[in-house]
Amino acid sequence: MHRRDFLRLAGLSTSGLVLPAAVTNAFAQSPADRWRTFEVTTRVEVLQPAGRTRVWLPTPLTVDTPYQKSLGSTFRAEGGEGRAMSDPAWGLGVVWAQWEEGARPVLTMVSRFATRDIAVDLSRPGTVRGDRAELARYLEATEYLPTDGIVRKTAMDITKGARDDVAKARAIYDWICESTSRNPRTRGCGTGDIKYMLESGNLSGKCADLNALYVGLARAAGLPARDVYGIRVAKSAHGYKSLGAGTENITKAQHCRAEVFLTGHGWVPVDPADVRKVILEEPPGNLPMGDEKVVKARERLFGSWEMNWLAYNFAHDVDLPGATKGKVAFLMYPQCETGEGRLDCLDPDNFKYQITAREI
Amino acid sequence: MRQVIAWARGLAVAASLAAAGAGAAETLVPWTRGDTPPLVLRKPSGEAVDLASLRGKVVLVNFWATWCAPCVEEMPALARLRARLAARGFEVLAVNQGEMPARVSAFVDRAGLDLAVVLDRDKAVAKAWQVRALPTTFVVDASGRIRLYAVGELDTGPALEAAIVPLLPRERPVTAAR
Repeated sequence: MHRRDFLRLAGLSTSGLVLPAAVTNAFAQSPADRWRTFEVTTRVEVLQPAGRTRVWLPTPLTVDTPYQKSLGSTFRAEGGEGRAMSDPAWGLGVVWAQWEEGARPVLTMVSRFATRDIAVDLSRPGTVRGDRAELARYLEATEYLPTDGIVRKTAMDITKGARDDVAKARAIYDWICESTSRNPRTRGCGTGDIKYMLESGNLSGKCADLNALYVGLARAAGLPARDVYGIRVAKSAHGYKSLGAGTENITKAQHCRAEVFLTGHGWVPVDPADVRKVILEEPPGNLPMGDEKVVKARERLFGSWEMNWLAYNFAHDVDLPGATKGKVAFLMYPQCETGEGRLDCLDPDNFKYQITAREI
Repeated sequence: MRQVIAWARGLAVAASLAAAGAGAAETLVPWTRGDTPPLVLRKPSGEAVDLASLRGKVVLVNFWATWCAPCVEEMPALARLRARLAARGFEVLAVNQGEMPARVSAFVDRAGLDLAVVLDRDKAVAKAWQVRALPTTFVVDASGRIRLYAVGELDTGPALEAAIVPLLPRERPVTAAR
């Protein structure tokens, strides 16, 4: 992700409106399509600014998908200068702002998006063909997702004997479901150093680890795949307490999922990390793989997502515009740099930030 | 391969931030992976600390975080070791990984740790030191060269002191750095 790849959408002194180019008919869907509309508000107030302070926030996906359409974001950088930038190649939108020494940095972003559940019927042959150049991007290695060495060897072992791409994708999904575990002590969502996970044999973590492992293994097996970084915005309607946001305060509800591109079917949603979450967290906890709730979740989460969740972007190794402290592996949390360094994005109370969501 | 085995025993993974498993505590092993990277960081108070300025002392550099259970477990033992050996030219630098100063200070105060704690806010130092899991510990000799390291919770028993004492400078420095 290079800074020069960003397309600057707006350069505004304190506030602005971000509208992805492709946003058009989000509200034109018929009720039968079950589109729901949400508003998510992110408010950052940097408690300990020092020198020049910069804040970056991810916007909803800037490209439309069958499951989400952005309805735009507005932002206000009190006492500072705000900008919005996007990189459509990764669906990445960034609202960022900076304040000079002595300012009280407060950035508020309000985003609206429409969403609906998605399910891909893999039992029927499809006709979807991807754009070769686009798909090539999703076969590349990233800093934390190498596709050679132990990653490739593991992918080859897992997919050995798989007849086609669907079988390969399913084999990797099943391997993640059965070989990994969710670690409740993992901080945030994890960071997804999959080479390290495989070398150490420590296959525990959270979504940014387990689903990143899926993506890396899929890429190593020749299947275009991508992490989709986002945040849960509402309760699950399918009875899974662990797979939804229980309150309007979603400050700590970040969750990333994965998609794999299967010729004929297009981008197929998967989420093996949430299978492991169901196993660990659904009452009474530590459910066996054969529990009905686990079986249903495992079947559902290969090919479908419940969209009580906002997708931010597909980007890895994000070069934040104006940043001086290097890339971030992904942009799912608010980020901030002051003259004293980068703030801990997993410490919202000391950062500080709050994210709320409501259906409108 | 030694390193892979160490990783597999259970530790707080810097990447996935997993909690330590029930594996055996780690002993220090020889470092063979290159020169000592720079380490210039600030304490929560803002005071700068440069590892190079501690030349002449043996420095145990411990990468840690407040959320890392094995890190928290071993820190009191590191503080006691420092207290025993400080007069013989030994220092401990506890390099916090990416946390906010307020959180780190509150933890150190609450735990009553008499250690030099510095903040690697961007985790750039950890990257330069090839740290991929927490805790990771290095022992830097009096000439500034990394001699020993361990990935995972240290065995803080007699073996730790026994590994460090032979490296201590013969001439005793007058004061410790803290």
